[in-house]
Amino acid sequence: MSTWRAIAVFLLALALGPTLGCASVPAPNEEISNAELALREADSINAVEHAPLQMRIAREKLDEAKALVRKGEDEDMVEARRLAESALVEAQLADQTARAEIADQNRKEAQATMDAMRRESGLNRN
Amino acid sequence: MTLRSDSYALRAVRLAGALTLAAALSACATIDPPPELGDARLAYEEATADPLINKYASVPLYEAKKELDRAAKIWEETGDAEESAHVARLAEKRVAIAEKVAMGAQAQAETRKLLGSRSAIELQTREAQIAARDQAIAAREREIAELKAKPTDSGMVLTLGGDVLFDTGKATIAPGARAQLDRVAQFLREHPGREVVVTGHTDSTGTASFNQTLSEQRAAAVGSYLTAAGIDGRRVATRGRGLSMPVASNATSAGRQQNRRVDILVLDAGQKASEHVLSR
Repeated sequence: MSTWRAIAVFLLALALGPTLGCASVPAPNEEISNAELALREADSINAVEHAPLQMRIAREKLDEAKALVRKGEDEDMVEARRLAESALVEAQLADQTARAEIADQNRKEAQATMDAMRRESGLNRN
Repeated sequence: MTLRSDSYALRAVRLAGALTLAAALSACATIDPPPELGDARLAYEEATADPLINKYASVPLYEAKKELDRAAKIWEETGDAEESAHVARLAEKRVAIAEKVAMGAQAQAETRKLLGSRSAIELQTREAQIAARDQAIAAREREIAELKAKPTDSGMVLTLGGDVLFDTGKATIAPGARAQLDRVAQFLREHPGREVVVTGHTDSTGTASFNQTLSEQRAAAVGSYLTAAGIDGRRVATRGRGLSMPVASNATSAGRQQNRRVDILVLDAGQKASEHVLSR
């Protein structure tokens, strides 16, 4: 009887082992704060204007990750970590997209300035 | 109680068996690596073939490679398709980040180059300005030379022989002198900042007061001719010097002819004809 029960518990533990193992996964606090930092940095260069969709996705994923951590269910922690990691790269992509666009605008402005100067020097030559 | 325990145990065993079977089946079903891994590798390989990314985004590309290797390792060592796919997606994002970094860095490099050529263009502009000014000076000198004018301290002096300008003892301009005066008028029209002082001179034939009056009248006639040709009277000052300033001997007829004359002094830019007359 108790032998049966012991066997049952053993088998159950064996079968659910991997699942139960997940229960010991800690809350992805570091991943969340990394994503938050990346979002703040992207915000500081006004990435919303240059990459609105990526910023939106990053923020939603981060919010979802934080909500899962708040809920505190152990089995959600893997998903929370993945969401936070995805939010991080999405925010970094938005950040670099914005930087690339700003750099391109600067290049165009410099080009226009140089063109104007060249025109001016050309006029003076005549 | 006993019966119940048996049923729990039996159920537990069945459950365990089912889970093991499911695990085995799922392992068999996902023997292929997750497609995300292949996608990420493809994206990475495309990026490595891009010289711009290699040049400007080697670090982000390296980070993408590390993430890609991690995704592959997860798949090989644990068979966790879900985690491997997740990390592969992260790797693909890092490739996209590397592309943006390269675009930004390239634009920055081009901007630096453009601004670097700024000083060259400025130099070119300055040279062109100097060349234009030199040209303008040369053109003005040519124009004055065409008037056969001579340089003096206050400007260019054009001397018109009195015999050409006027009939003897008269102050009306002879038709033959008009071409020369028209050139002066044209010069003044083209250079609105320049003013002229017209000075009449005579030989010593007759009384001093007669000659003074005649020289003033002849200068005035030239002045009138210029204003009639459209030159503002304020830019033209006239005066007579009579017989007081001969340039040749009055003892010979050739000398007297030289002394009968009208000088047109074209003042340098900025000098006022009225002030010039007063100061003398």
